Amino acid sequence: MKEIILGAQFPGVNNFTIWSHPDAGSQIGFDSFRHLAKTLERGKFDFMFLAEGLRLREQKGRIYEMDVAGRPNTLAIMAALAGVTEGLGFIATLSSTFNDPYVLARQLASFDHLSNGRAGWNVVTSPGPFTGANFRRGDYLPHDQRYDRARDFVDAARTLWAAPGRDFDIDLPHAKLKGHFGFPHGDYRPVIAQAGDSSGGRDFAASHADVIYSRHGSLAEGQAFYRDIQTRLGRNGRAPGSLKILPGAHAILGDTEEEAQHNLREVRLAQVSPRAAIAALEQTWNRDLSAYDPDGPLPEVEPDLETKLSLGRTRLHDDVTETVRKWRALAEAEKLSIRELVIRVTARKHFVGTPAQVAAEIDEYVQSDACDGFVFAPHYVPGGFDSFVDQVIPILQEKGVFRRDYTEGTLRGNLGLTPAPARAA
Amino acid sequence: MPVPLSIGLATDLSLDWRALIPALEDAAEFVTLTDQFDSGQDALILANWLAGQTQKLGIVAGVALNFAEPFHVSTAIATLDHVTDGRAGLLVQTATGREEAAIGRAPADLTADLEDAVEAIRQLWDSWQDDAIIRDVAAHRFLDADRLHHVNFRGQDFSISGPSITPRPPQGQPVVIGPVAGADLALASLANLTVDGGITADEIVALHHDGLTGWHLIPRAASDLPHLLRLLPQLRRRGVISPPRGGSLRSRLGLSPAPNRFAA
Repeated sequence: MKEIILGAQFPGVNNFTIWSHPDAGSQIGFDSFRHLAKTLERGKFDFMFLAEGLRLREQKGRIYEMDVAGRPNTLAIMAALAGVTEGLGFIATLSSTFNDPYVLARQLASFDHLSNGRAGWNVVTSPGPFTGANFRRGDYLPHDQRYDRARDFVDAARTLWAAPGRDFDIDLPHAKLKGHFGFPHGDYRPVIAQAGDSSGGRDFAASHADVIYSRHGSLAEGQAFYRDIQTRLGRNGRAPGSLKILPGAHAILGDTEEEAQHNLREVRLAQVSPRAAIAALEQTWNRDLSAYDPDGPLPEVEPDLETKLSLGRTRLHDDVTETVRKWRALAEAEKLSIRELVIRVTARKHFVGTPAQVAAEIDEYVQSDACDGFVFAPHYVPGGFDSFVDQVIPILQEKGVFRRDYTEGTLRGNLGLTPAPARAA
Repeated sequence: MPVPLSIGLATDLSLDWRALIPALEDAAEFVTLTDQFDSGQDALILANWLAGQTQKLGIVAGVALNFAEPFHVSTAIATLDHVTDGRAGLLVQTATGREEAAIGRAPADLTADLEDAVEAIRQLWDSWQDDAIIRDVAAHRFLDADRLHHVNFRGQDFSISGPSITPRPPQGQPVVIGPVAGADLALASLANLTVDGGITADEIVALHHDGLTGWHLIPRAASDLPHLLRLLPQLRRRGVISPPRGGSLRSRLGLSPAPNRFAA
């Protein structure tokens, strides 16, 4: 039986985070972050995951007001959390586009050193001019070179990590570095993760990453993705299982299955408020749709294919015309209002049921090679994950598919990637 | 008159940082963590790692601003201030010479670039008004966008749109220390003394005089720090240094609460 890998994300800047929840706390205070980290450590989670955004999102020329916005510096808050935990790993999302290789590689080495080997880096590439406007070099990197730079960046970082206390001379197109890395001796191998589902992203993961953070909802989709990645690993001369596949997911619990389904409905209605439904539609239509009734039918007007109404978001779909055609067909067939449609088409993978049902389904996904585990996101902070840790984890431990205690002390060890390296004090 | 004590620590000292925390908390108003750039720990990471484990120590992280991204520095120091609830500062450093090769970027006009970076960082700290998060459930608005500001900073070599991704830090403006226009304090204005294991309390008392605003003691090597810490009770008894006062780092340095330049 495979041991399940579990991570959890501190939820933030997206409409899945319900800031209006009666128990919702601060999105920026250290207490919120510490609460989640301590909860995950109590549940013996492999790691905590943090996303990154380098510019606030805008819509219709204004900063977007409806979702949570505002977050700490990713690496800084994770360093602070590493100081108050002992076994939990950390995977920090950090841009290879708007960082310098030497500075970030050294920061990650410090993070790994101070946390005794619990550092991970989710390597992302960042989009151009909108985000670039916050950085010294601006929009400097052609779109098709984003992964070239990411590769060079990771290669340069690994060269540095392997050379504490030594000189280095790195001559890669996107990383030309020469100097001395005066760092304490030790075994620095931060875990490399990759998120993003493009073919370029998959290839980058297969050649460079230890973990891939994916989005595949159904068992069959997951299994197809899992097989595709094993094939790509083989092409890179890597062993099967050397890249851990961890889709994002959510869990909604109830004392009965009916109660859990009811809870899911409540959560989705809170996530997609009437105003949020219109805003979500505007992101695809690229038009001001504020005059439409969220409980009425889809707008008859066609999407504007020329302008860009929404800035700072990952594009959900490339072909707007085709997407809108599908949505119209779905709304027509099932008589869905705008709000109902948005709830439907923005759904993500949810495990819904009693703790025993959720544990069984998670286990089924892992044992049938749809994935190696999951990265869960609670839907509010700081207590949104307490019940999962208290109710689902013990069942997984009882099944013998999840650890009862940390044994390795490193993130790499938690993930079962290699035997725990001997570390310098 | 006893004056506040700060301790200057280079991040490449081979110290057991965790074990030191209780002693540093009781010893000093704040520590500066000087980043050596090509040796030792990154000061921003070390500062934040320490921060979560402290209750009252002021923590001032050194950054070679001519090489760093001002946006990242601004959010990392703001985070340090959130984690410590108002005990954070930024020590402005410059990196020159052999470090240039390491990073692959030639330095700009140093003075102008530093001043630009400090100004950009300060504007980003103010880019969220303190009351920007409104959590208006009825209107489904988490933010009031009118209380967030694009800083549209234009410097000599770079520009930054903003606003920050990080809400305004508790101090509003964390303390900026350095020999640069726009700083709150220059370390040179304090009585700086590099100490080794041979120095006595008598020698420090002899150097103390009226008009000093603070002592900044810098252990020369890691092994000199325990000796320095042992001298402190005597220095306190003899009226040279005052015990840490607590509260925000700004208030401890006699700085008034920082108004927000963007607030009406």
